[in-house]
Amino acid sequence: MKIMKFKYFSINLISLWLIALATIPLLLILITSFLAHDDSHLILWHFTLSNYVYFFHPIYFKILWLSLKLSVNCTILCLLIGYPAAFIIARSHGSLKNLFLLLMIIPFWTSSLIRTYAILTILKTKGLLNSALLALGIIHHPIQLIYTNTAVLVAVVYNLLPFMIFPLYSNIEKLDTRLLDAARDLGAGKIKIFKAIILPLTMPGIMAGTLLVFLPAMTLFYIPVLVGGAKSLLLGNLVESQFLEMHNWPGGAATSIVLTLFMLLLIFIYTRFARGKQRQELL
Amino acid sequence: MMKPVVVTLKNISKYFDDHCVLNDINLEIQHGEFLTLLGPSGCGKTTLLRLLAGFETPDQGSLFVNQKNITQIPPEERLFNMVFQSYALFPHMSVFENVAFGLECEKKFTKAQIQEKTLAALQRVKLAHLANRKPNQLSGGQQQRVAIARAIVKEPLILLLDEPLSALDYSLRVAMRIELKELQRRLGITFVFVTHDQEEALSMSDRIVVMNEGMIEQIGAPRDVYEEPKNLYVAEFIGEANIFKTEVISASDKKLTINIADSHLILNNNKNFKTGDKINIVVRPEDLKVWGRGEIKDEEDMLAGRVEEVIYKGSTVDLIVKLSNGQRISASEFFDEDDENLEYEKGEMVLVRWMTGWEVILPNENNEV
Repeated sequence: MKIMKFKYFSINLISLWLIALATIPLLLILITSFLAHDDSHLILWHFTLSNYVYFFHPIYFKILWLSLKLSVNCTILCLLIGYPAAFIIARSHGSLKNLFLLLMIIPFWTSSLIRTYAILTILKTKGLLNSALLALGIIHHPIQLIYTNTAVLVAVVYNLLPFMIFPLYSNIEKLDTRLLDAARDLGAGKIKIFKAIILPLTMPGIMAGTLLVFLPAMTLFYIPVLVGGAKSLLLGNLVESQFLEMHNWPGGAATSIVLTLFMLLLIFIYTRFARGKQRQELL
Repeated sequence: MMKPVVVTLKNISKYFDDHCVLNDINLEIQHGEFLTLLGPSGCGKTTLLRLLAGFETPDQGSLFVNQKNITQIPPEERLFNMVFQSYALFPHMSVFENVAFGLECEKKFTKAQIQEKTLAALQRVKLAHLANRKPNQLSGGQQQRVAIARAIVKEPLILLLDEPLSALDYSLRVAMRIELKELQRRLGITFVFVTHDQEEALSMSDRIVVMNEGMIEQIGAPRDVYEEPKNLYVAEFIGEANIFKTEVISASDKKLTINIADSHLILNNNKNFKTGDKINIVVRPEDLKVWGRGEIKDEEDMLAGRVEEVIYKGSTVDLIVKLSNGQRISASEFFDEDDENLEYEKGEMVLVRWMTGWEVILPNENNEV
């Protein structure tokens, strides 16, 4: 009985926590997104759809398109780098494996904001990379690295790569090597083994990693600000600037809601696509 | 009649780190035979099988198929296929796709041919009706058959089986033995079967290779290995054995006299033992006959002892008898017409004897007592 009571207590506590800190704020944002504002009031109690109508303006489409493009590129890059990395980590032995895992975890001991500043010192015009290239004589004038879309992409990939590697690693780790032996024994070459055995069996990891990278990539607002400068305005920045600079709370709320809906749509597509077992593994 | 040799292993040695796993193995595998590699875990039998499959390469020695050296040929190019211990079925593929996989890899069959061959293989193992299931929807016995079908569909020169029955429960295991043996006979494929279960080895094999610590102790038909073990290791590993360590009191061309627990016994001298030789006498429990004290008048050349334990086993009664010299021996008595009620009491004094010639006499080279 005592255990049952404790169980209900702890479940209720978590539910309360989620209601107070997730559901209610989300509802407030939802309500705010249908309200108006003027210069002297953050919100006016007056129902309107105008905040959503803005989204049909081409500038918003452009921002959405840029954000999508960045997220897709970032996910593809993370997958291309992360998959072999996860494979090497999962297949290495003993202390080497522990070292790799430690190297993956150490960056998390520092805030990602600070790590982004660190990238800044490498990429800026008189930064480490330019100085090194100049010293080596590879270039003769500092090249523009920072405040470009590529710089944003590099920084986002750097920040999100672990979220691709970890689910892939735990998936590949579980992969039964006897299956690879069996495939070889049946006459399969390396490419066939990868395509027919490894890829399908690590699909849950690829899916989980993709979601964990793709969704945050849409919303990481401080990286484009720091590394991309004012030039690249993405969805995350838009929300930030609407709230903090333009003092347009209803507008920011509406952008947030659109972003949330968009992500729900992606998760929905994913769950349709990933059947049964894969979905369970993800959860 | 000697069957033609298909595979020859010459002076194969294999080390893991500094540990010698296989030590100078020489073996010829004959066409169409059911060959069993038998030994305890760690004796190198699985390594030898993986070496045949190509997953391991020997540190010394070579492997020949019909006189062609295949030592460096990778597994995917060898004409051997393997049934893995835990089956290693591809979990994301249906039974049909699992079996068809090996044929697709060959790239020389049309879709229709693959379809036809796959179904034929599934019919061989009586699983055609489950072709669309996934492996995790099958029982252990069915998964086992898929693993066999997946290997035989490739029509291998040799089918390698790595303890394929160890995951099944007892009755299924016994049934699968008969089925495997029957399948082997029907297909005419050479089977190399690895097991630590001597009963499995005896009941299925044409020849048994008894292995111990990376070496081959004996190669022979099940009956030879059981009845004429070459050394003490084989005698003790295969079946139960009573071993009397003693020495030859006097020897002639035909007979030798020995002493066990104060009884003088006269045995056949088939192996030219001389007076004073240290020997081990191996007698199987079922070859020992036990009489009660009252049943026998002439007690000479019989071993006297006391019954310590009576174990009823259905078809036999097993007795543990302590001889007057303190050695414990085991005897299996069968229920038959002469002795319908085998009743022994614990503590009863009995007399034990075996038919002269049913024993195996081995030299005791190490002079252990």
